[in-house]
Amino acid sequence: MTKFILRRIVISIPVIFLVATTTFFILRLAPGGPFLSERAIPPEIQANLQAKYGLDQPLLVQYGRYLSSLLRLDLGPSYKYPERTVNDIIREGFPVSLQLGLAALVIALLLGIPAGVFAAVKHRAVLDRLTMSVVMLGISLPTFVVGPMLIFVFSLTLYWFPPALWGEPSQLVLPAITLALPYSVYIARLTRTEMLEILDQDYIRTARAKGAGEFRVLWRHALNGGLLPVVSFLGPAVADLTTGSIVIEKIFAIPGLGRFFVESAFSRDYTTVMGTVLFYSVLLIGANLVVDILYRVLDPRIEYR
Amino acid sequence: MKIRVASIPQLAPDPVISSLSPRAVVWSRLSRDPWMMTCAIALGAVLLSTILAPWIAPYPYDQIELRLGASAPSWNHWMGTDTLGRDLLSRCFYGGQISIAVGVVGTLVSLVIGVLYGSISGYRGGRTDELMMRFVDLLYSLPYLFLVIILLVFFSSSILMLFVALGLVQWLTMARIVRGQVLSLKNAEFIQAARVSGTNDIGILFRHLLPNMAGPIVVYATLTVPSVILQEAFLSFLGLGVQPPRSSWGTLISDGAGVMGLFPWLVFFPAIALAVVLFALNFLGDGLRDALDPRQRHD
Amino acid sequence: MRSRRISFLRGKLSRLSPNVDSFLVLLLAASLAASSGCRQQGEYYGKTEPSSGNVFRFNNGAEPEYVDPALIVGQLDGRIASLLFEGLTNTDPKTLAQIPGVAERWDISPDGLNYKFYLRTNAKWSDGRPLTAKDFVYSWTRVLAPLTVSRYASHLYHLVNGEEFNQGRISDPSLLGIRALDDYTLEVRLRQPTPYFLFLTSFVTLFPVPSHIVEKHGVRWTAPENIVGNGPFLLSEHQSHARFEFVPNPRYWNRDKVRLDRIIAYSVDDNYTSANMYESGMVDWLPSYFPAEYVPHLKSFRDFASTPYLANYYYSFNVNKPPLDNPLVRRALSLAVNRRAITDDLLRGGQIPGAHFVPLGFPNYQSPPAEEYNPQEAVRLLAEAGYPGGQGFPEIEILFNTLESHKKIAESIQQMWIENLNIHVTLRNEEWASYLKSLTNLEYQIARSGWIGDYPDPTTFLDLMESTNGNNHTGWKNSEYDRLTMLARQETDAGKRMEILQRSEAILMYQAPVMPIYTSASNSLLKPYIRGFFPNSLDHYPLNEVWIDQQWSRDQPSGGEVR
Repeated sequence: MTKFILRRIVISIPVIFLVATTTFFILRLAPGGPFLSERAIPPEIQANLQAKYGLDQPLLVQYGRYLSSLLRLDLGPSYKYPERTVNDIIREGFPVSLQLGLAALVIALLLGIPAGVFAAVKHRAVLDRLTMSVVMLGISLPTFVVGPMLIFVFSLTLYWFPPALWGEPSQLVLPAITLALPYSVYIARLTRTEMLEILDQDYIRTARAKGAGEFRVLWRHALNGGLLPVVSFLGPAVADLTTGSIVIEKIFAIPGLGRFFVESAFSRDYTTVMGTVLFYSVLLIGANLVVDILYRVLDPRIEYR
Repeated sequence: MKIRVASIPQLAPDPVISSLSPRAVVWSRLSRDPWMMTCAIALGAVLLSTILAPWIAPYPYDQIELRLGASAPSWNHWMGTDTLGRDLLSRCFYGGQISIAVGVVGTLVSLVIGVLYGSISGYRGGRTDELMMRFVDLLYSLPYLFLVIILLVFFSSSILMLFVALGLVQWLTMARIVRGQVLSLKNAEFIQAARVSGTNDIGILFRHLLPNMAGPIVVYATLTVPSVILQEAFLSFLGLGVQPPRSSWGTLISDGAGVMGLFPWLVFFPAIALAVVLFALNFLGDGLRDALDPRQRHD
Repeated sequence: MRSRRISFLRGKLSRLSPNVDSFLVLLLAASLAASSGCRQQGEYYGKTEPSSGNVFRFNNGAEPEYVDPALIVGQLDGRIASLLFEGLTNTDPKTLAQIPGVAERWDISPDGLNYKFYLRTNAKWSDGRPLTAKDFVYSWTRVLAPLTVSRYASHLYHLVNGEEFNQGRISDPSLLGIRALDDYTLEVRLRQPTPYFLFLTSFVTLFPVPSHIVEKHGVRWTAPENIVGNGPFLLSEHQSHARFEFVPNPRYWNRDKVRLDRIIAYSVDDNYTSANMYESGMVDWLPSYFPAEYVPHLKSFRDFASTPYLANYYYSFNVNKPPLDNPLVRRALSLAVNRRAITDDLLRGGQIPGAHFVPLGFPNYQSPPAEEYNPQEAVRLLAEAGYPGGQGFPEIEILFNTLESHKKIAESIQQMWIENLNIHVTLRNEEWASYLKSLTNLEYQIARSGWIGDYPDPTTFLDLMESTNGNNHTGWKNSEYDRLTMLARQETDAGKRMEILQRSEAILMYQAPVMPIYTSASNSLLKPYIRGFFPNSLDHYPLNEVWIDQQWSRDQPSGGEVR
C-alpha cells in the first residue's frame, strides 16, 4: 500500500509541472495583459508597471523565476489586487468553497442514496419511474435556473433564507441545495443500478428466505455492497463540486475560490489564474488518491484485478 | 458543471445476443416500454422543430423590435419577446440548433479521440496500455473546466473552439470504456480467427472490434450529449458560450434567469426545451443501458 | 399586470403539456404561480425595515482593486478610500462647491497659478499623530514618483514639474510645485491656471497617506491591522470579495457630525444578486448595481432615483479606415441613428439622448446645438460622399466589448443603419482585454466607447479628442481643435473660456470622429429611512453625515411591511 501511494505521488510531480508549464505559456501567448485599462496610461508608467512585475524580462527568464518561486510554494502577488498575494487569496477563498462543497456532498448523499434504494426496491414499478423522473429533474435544469428559482421562492417571497452572501448557517442552505441537486441524481442512479444487481444475489435471497425484515436486508446486507461505486464517484465529484460551485458562488455572491478563478481569468490576473489552477490540480490529484486508497480498503478484490 | 458518468457497464460480449442481432433485441425491449417511447417521441419532436427552424420559425431570430420590449406571450409571439423585442419562439428554435449541434459535435469529438485512444491502448496491451491508461488517470485529475475557461477567455470563444474544448473534456471516460471492451474482446475466438486469416490490426479494429462494442459506445454517447449541452449552458452563463446575435438555449436561459421575477417567460420556455431534451436523452441512455445489459435479460 | 401574465402562462402551459414532461410543468408552474401571487407592487421595492443599530449597508459592486488612494482608478475603490481618508477640500454633495476639508481655508493668486492651503490644526491621523503639510508633500510626491506607478498620476501633472518628475525627466522632488511653508501651510504652484484644481484636491488621488505607516509596512499598509487614515471612518474588518466594515474614527476633526455607528460595504459583483439583496433588505443603498432590465419596472417605486451624470456613451470612428475617413460618411452614420429609440425604448434607464460629446449637467456650460435624427439628410450626405442609396458602400463592422447592454445597443444601431442607409453592417464582440487592445492599436472600424468625467469641467471630455491625448483612439487630428484646447488652458476668464470650449465642441460635431449617443444616468435604489443623501451629477455621495431614521418605520401603519 505504501509503495502504491508513493508511486502515485511520484507520478503526480511531472503532471503538476506540466500543468504549471502549460498554464504559464497559454497565458503569455494570449492577447492582452493584466495592466490594460480603458484610460490611457502614459507609456512611461506602463513600462514601470511591467518592470515592477518582471514582465519586461525575456519569457524564459520569467518562466524560470516562476518555477523557482513555485518550489518555495510562493504563488506571487495578485496582479489585480496587488495589496494581496495569491496565497492569501487561496487561503481566504478555498475554505469557503470547501465548506460549500462538503455541505452539498452531504445533502447529495442524503437525497441520492435513499432515492436510489427506493427506486431499486420498487424496480419496474410506477414508483421506480416516478422517483427516477423526479430525480432526473435535478440534471435537466441547469443550476443557474434552479438557484434563482430557489432564491425567488425562499428569499424574496417567503423571506426564509437570505438570497446571498456567506457566514451564517442560514446562508448555506440555498447554495448547498442548489449545488447538491445534480450530484444527488448521479448518486441515486448509481445506487439504483448497484442495488438492483445486489438485490438479485444469492445472499440477499438467503437473508430474505430466512425471514429477515425488508429494512434489515437493505440496511445490513445490501447497502454495504451497493455503496462501492458511490465511493468511486466521490473522486470525480470533488472535482465537479469545486468547478460546479463557480456558478453557485456567482449567483449567491459567495467569496469562494471558484469565483476568484473566473474573475481572475477575465481580468488576466496571470498569477492568480496559474495559482488557482495549480492548487486545484494538486487538490484533485490528492482527492483521487484518497478515493483509490478508500476503494482498496473497502474492496480487497481490487488488488487482483 | 462537469458531469461524468462513473459507472458504465463493462459489458461482456454475449454471443447469444449478438447472434440474435443486438439491434433487434434492444429495439424490442425499448419499443415495449411506453416511457422510453414517450421520451423518444418528445426528443424527436424537439429535434425536428430545431432542424426545421428556418421554415417554421415565425420571425428571423435576430429581428429587433425595440418598441415591443419584453412582452408577454401573445397571439403574435407565442412565447413572448425578449428585452429587445425579438420573438422568443424563433429564438428557441434556432437556439436549439446550436445547443444540439454543440452537444452532438462535442460528443463526436470525444468519440473519435476516445475510441482511437482506448482501442489502441486496449489492443496493444501490456506496457503501452499501462502507460496510456496512467496518462488518462492523470488527466482525470486535472481541473478541466478551468482549462476550458482559460482557453475560451484568452482565445476568443468561437463556436469551433467551443466544440473542441467541450469534446476534449469528455474523451477520457470514452477511452476507458472502449479500452475495457477491447481488452475483453481481443482474445475472443472470432478475433483470433481473423488474425490467423491474416487481417491486419487496423482491419481487426474497424471490422471486428468496433462493431462489437457499438452498444456501450452508443449508451455512453447518448449520455454524453446532454452533459455537453449542459456544459455549453454553463459556459454561456459565464459569458463564454455562443456569441450574439446567435444564441443557444444556454444563453437564452442565462439571459432569462436573472429577470425571472419580471419576465418569467424568458427563462421558462427555453428551460423547458432544454429540460425536455436532457431528460429524454438521459432516460433513453439509461434505458438503452438496461436493454443492452445481459444481466437484465432474465426478466 | 403581473397576474395577467401569469394566467396567460398557465393557459399556454396547458396547451403545451402533451409533449412536455408533466412534472416539469407542474413544478415550474407552481413555483411561478406561488411566487408571483405574493409579489405585488408596493410603494417601495422590497423590505423597508431599517436594520437594528445605526448600521448603513450598501453594495459596492465588486472587490476594490486598491485601498491605497495613490493607486486607485475605479469609482468603487474610491468609495472605500473616501471613508478612510480626506483631502484638502471636500465636494459639497448638494452644490458641488468646494468646501473645507483638511484645509480650513485657502488663497489663490490672481493669475490662478499659486495656491496656499491653511491646514486645520486639529486634523489628526487615526493613530493620534498630527496631520501636517509635510504629509501632503510626501503623499503627492509619492503619487508622482515613477516607481509608485500611480495610474492617475496625471491629475498632478498640473503641478510645476509634475509631468517631468513622473516621467523620470527630473529626479529631484524638491523641484515639484509643492512645498510645506510650515506644519500647517501648504504652497502649491501650477504650470497653468486650472479652474478645477480645487476639485482635484478633493479627489482620492490627492488624499494624504500616512508616511510612517506606508514606509513601515510597504504594500501591506492597507491591511485592516495596519491601516491608518484621516477620514471619518476606520476600517475594522475586511473579508476579501465579500465585505468591508467601518466604524467611526474617534480622532476625525468633524467626529460630531458623524452619526452612523457602523458601515458595511459588500463587494457583490453580480447585479441580479445585488438586486435580490436590496429587495430582501440586506442592503440600504445600491449605487447602480442592479440589472438594467429592471429599471423600467423599478421606476414606479419611490426608492428609485435616476440622475443624469457626467458620463457619455459614444461610438468612435477609426478615421484612418475608408470609408470612415470621409466626414460626410461619419455624419451620415450619425444622422441615421435614432438615439431616442435607444434610450427610451431599449435602455429605458433614464439616459438622455443627444449627439453632443460633452454630457449634460456641467455647471456653466452649454453644448452647441446638435443635429437631430434625420434619415433623409443621412441618405443625402451618403450620396454626396459617393454612395447613392448605399451603393458601393463597403461592409462596416462595429466592435464592442462583451456586455449585454453594449450588445443590445450595437444590434439596434446595426439595424438602424441597415434600414436607413441600406448598407452592410456586422458586429464584432471582444472580451475586455482584447477589445482594449483593438481600440488602442486602431484595429477596428467603429467601436463602442464611453467616458466618465473626472472633474466637473467640460475639458474632462473635450481634452480626450486632442491629437496628442492617449485616449483619443480614433486617429483623428485637427490642428484648429488642438489650438483651441490649448487656448482654453491659458484662459483665466470663465466666460471666455466656455466660449472657446463651445467652439471646439462644434468642430468635433461637424467633423464627427465620434458619434455621441447619450448622457448616462446614475440610477440608484435607496431605502426610504436613509437620510443625508443628496443626488448630484458627479455621482458623489459622502457618507459622513448619513443617518438612519429609525422613526420612519414606526410611523408606518403596517409596521413597515409594505407588501
